[in-house]
Amino acid sequence: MGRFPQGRHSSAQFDDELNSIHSHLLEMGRLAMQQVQRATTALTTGDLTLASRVLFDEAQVDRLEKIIDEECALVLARRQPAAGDLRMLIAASKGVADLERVGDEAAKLASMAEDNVRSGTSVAPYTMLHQLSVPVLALLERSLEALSRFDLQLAVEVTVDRRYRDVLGELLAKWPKVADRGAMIDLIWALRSLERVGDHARNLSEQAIFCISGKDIRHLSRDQLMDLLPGVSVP
Amino acid sequence: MNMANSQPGSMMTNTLGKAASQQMSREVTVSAQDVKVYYGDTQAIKGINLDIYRNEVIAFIGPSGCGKSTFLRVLNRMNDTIDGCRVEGKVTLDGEDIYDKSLDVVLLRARVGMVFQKPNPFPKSIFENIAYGPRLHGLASSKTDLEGIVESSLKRAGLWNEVKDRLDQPGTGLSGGQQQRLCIARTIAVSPEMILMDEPCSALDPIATAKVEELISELSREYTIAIVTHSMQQAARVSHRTAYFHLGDLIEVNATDKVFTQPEHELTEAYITGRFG
Repeated sequence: MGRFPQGRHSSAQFDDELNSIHSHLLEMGRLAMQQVQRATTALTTGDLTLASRVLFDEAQVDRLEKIIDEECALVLARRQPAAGDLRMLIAASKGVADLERVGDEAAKLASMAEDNVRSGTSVAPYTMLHQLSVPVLALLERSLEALSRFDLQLAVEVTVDRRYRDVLGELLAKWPKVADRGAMIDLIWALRSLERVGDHARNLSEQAIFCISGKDIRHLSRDQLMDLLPGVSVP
Repeated sequence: MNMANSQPGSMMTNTLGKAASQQMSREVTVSAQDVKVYYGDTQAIKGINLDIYRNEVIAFIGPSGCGKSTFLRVLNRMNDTIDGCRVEGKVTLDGEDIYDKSLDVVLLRARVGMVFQKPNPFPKSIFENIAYGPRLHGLASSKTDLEGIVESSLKRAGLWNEVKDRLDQPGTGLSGGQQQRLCIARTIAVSPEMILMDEPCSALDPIATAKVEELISELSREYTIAIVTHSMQQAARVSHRTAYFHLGDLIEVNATDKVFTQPEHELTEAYITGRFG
């Protein structure tokens, strides 16, 4: 696991504890990302096995959430962290909630895929999900990368990246004719789930920015963001 | 490497910080200008500029040998008692140069009292421990006056209810925490403007420490307090501003909540997160 930008503590055990939280957070992020990827594929191809696998693996995401929460609580109790260490724990505590919800969205998509296969619903209308899942998953991946490398510039780029919302708008503008009203509602829910994953990825980047710079950029406009983070290029 | 003096509250980032800021006035009590201290040929303080504001609690933190205790002792000329110690620069108390040759050092130390690491009550009764200073400085015109000062000092130090029925017993018979509060009561009995505390809780257990910390918070309504502490949690709990010292330099002085969440200097960050060394 990567070293923290501030360097090592006098206590190697403290380093190990923080590294473990960081490592588990990234593991949870990669797992949540994989869950969304698999759930989308299951939904667009009608792969029942893959859908079942996603639902089975949801427990792994939840397990990591509990582990990280417990590790954060122990470090707070034992070490009384300050400055960058404290910000890292706060970011991890909040980031873990976003990732758990990403896992939930994946589970929703997987359940939908199972239902569709069992009810014999056509997968054809669902193929459009790929157009949204690609930018959303790319955003989540870059967000995890920013968190992994403590990369402020990348985190800012992710935070202001709303391309997935543009894609969603385009998809809704050229909405396909779906005869089955139930399938149409499911499709809207599926798109909504992917949109939420994109929102969580951006939240995660906001936490990365807080962790790295100490700046709370939530609810700020682009101009306010530029004022708060001079020296960082805001696309 | 000296940082400019940050105004209290100027960098406050949360509600608690703002409340602390409002509580403090901006009136300068002590101003240190380009203060340098030498022990023989060794320079312990390398030209520090710092204003301390009325009714603020300012914590001095830093690794051993960084100069924080030396700087604290500059503020009431306790370094005068150390052979070979030389102080350069200017230190004013309410605008008055405390290193002026005409200044009465005994009076200065009444105006700027000090509480030490180890409780050091006089080998006298509890009453006499408190009464000694006011009597020396002629602050009481009668026995009733003196009794009033003793009672009020012990009350302000949160000790009155614990000792009011045994004022004639030796101060040294009290517990460590009570002795330290007795020393604080002794300090405030002579109506100081400022209280210097040099690791006042390092010899105390957690309960006694909590009582002294509570007392510091109470006392800051009436006095300006500078505290040297090795406990970063204590600095975070009790002070409005924190000053970080390193090898005789003042690296950073800022609102305490800012220092402990977003320190500006990497040396401060390294120290408070336990990465120093």
